[in-house]
Amino acid sequence: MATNWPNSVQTFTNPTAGSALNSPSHADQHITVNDTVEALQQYAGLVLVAAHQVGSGTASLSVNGCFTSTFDCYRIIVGCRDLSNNLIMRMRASGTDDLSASYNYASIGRSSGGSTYTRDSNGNTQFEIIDRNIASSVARHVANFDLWFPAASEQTTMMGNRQTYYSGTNYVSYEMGGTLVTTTQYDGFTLTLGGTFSGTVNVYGYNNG
Amino acid sequence: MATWTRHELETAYPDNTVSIQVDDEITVMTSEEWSAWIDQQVGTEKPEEEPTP
Repeated sequence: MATNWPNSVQTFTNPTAGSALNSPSHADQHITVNDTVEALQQYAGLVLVAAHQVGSGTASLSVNGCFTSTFDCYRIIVGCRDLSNNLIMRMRASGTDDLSASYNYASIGRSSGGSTYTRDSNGNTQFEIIDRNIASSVARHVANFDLWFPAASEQTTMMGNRQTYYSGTNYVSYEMGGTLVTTTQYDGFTLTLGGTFSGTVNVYGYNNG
Repeated sequence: MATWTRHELETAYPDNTVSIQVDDEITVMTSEEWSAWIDQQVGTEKPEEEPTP
């Protein structure tokens, strides 16, 4: 029996200790399981491709080999437990960061205290992922963003949002986006800053089906 | 906006406490690497206590 997934949840007939090889059919068992596993690979939504815990005192995290031709778009989530400066990102190919002045980005944020903030740059050497401007870290700083076509021979586009903390009642929510205008095929990235950070960084691929 | 001095950076990020992570491999900077890293930050903007609208 072929799989029903994803139209309905697959059910399986488990053999018992005394079952003959033809009841249930051993070959049919393999066919059903194989088809189901293939369907899971094909129809899985987000596929975890890299997961890293970043320890305290880390000045940079480089992730290699997470972008491939399997997926066009990736979701990156960054949850900082402490962050002592603005967190930036550079794309990476074969273990080398792209430091070219080819990154363009813009973001606009609104704070819970009623202030508006903008951050933008053309021809920079990095994307800005999280900005913060207080000396003491008393709140989490997080970012969720997508990267389109990092492993393809075309521009890489970043789009997402972040939540940061400035001070007082200024918890700031940003929409952000950017484009790296090179057509290099990247297989990784580096998060770094003029200071240190710790936290969680996960990378997921959006399944093309 | 105030900028970092070397002394402030050395106090905030002492030698043997700053590391580089590549995938899951964590390497503490050597004193030479740390000193060069500190040099890169000298003169850059310091985080402030109050927001800058």
